[in-house]
Amino acid sequence: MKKITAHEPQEELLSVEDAFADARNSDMRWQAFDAEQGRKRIFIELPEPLYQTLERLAKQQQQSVPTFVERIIHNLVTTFAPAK
Amino acid sequence: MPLSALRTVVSNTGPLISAFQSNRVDILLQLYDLIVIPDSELAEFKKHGATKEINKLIEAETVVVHALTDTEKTIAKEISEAIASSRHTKDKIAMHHYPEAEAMVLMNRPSLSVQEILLDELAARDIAKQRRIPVIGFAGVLIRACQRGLLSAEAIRDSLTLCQKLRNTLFYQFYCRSL
Repeated sequence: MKKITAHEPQEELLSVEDAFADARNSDMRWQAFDAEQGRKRIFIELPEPLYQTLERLAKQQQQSVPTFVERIIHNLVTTFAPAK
Repeated sequence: MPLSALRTVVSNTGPLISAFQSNRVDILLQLYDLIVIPDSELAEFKKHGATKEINKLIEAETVVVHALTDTEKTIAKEISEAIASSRHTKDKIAMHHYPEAEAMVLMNRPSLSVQEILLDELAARDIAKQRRIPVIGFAGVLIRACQRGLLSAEAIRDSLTLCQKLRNTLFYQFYCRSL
């Protein structure tokens, strides 16, 4: 574990109910956001070592695999099917 | 990608410190594209020994640091005073709550298109709710990750234990039962 000290350990923290309510409300907000942005979710299965390589490259750029893949696809589409 | 299409949040120092402590920055990166912080938080990261970690995220452009205008700083001072006077805090010195107040002010910048603020302290959350600012704490982020299949319930328990969010056994047991 890293030697990073806790932030304001003397302060009161939220309850379990609050934590679950946070998750529920946040999920609703992001679902509305995705719908507004016209985002669609896709599911892709990748064989190893392809996934491991993607994971390593994403980590090098401090990105998640989904964000990294989304950017690759975005660049491919922009290159091969540029907006007219 | 336009800024408005990014999943952008403002974060107070606490949730990011918790993510560093529990090695769960990856979860934040799975759920959000961009994390905005006010520059007043940088001193707090230094104080907690997390300068290297936050700088790494800033270099990767995952975290973006914003300075407030003079008008925004005036509003932040008012908010910090409101937080200090909350019954939920033992720390009655308004300046100690200034970074989270600045984070709340950044929530109101339309150019950033921010959807929610990562905030754990009850007093600050109370003021945020009064101002209709959408809030989520670090535990909520982990629960959301669990519900999306990114983390197991056990991983949540381990993360919360590592970042010392569970100082009370009853709370800990309740968490385990609830997941």
